[in-house]
Amino acid sequence: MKNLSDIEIIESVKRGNQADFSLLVDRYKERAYSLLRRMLKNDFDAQEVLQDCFLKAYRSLDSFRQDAKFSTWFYRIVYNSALTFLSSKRRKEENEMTSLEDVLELKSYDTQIYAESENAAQFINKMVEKLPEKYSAIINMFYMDDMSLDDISKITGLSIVNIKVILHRSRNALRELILKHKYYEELL
Amino acid sequence: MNHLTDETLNKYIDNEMDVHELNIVNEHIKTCEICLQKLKAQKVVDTNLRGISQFKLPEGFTENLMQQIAVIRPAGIHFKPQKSYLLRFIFLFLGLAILTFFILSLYEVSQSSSSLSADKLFWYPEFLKKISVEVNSYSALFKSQTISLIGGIFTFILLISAYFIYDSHRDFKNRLNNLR
Ligand SMILES: [Zn+2]
Repeated sequence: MKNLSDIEIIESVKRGNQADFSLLVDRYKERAYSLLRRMLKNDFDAQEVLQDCFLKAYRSLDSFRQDAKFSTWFYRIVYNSALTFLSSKRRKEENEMTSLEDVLELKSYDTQIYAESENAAQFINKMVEKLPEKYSAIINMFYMDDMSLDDISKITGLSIVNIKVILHRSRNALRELILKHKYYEELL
Repeated sequence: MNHLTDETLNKYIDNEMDVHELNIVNEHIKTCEICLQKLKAQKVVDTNLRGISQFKLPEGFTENLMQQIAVIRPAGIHFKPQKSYLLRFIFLFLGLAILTFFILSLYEVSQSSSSLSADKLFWYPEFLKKISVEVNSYSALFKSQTISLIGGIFTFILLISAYFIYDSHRDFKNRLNNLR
C-alpha cells in the first residue's frame, strides 16, 4: 500500500476507495504544513488552512490532470490558499498592518533572535520565519522540498527570474547578519 | 581587482560559474579577507538553509480530516445526469396513469353484466362518477380477451418498477460502501 504512486492512489480514490485519500494526506501533510507555517507565521492558522486545502483537493480531484505532478498541483492549492488567507486577514486588520508585504526587513528581529539562538542553524531557521510570505515560501520550496525553479514557478505563478531575485535577496540579507555575528567562523 | 558582487556570490553558491570565473574568484579571495568572509558567510547561509526543519503537525490530524472527508460526496462519482431522474419520473407517472385506468376498467368489467347506472354509484364523489360513466362507454373494450392484454401491460409495468427499485437500491448500497 505504501509504495503506490500518487496517481495510483488518486485512481483508487476515484474508484470509490475514499479511505485511500489518507495515504496522500500522510505523504504531504508535513511538507505542506511547513510551507503554510512559514507563510502564515502561526500554528493555528496553518493547521486550519491545511485542512481546507486537503478538503479542496479532495473535492476537485476530478479536475486534477494526470499529466501534471500531484505535488505541484497540491502545492499550488496550498500556496494560493495561504495568500488568500493573508489578504483577507490583512483587510480585517487594515489599520494595523501597513504594506510590509514585500519589504525585506530582518534587522528589527535580529537582536531577539540572536539572543535566542545557539548557532547559525538555529539563527537561520528562526530568521526564515521572519521573511515575507513569498520569500519564506520560496526558501521553503527550494531548500526544504528541493524543488526545481520550474516547479516553483508553476506553483507560485512567478517567473523564474523573479524567483531567483527573491532567492538571492533572502540569501544576501541573511549573509549580512551572518557576517555581523561572525557565524562564518563555524565554517572550517 | 574589484570586490565580489552579490551576483557573483550567488552564482558561486549555485554552481553557475565556469572554470574561468571560478579562477578569478579563487584568486581574489586569496588576497582579500573581506570577500573571503563574505563567501564563507554565503556558504553558511546556504548550508543552513538546506537544513531548515519541517514543522510537526499535532497528533490525529489525518484521522480528523478523514472524518470530515467521509461525509463529502465521494470524488469522481458524479450525480447521474438530471434526465435520468426525469426519466424515472415519467415512467412512474405513466405507470400510475395506466394502473388507474386498469383498475377503473376492471371495475367496469365486473359491472358489465348488470346494467350500470349513475345512481348506483351514489357513494362515489361527483368527479369519479363522471369518469365512471365515461369509461362505461368504453367497457366493451375490456371483455375477456382484452383483460389478458391489460394483464400483460400490468406485468410489464411491474417489471419496470422492480428494475428501478433494484437500481436505486444498488446505488444506495454503493454510497453506503463509500462511507466506510
Ligand atoms: Zn574583495
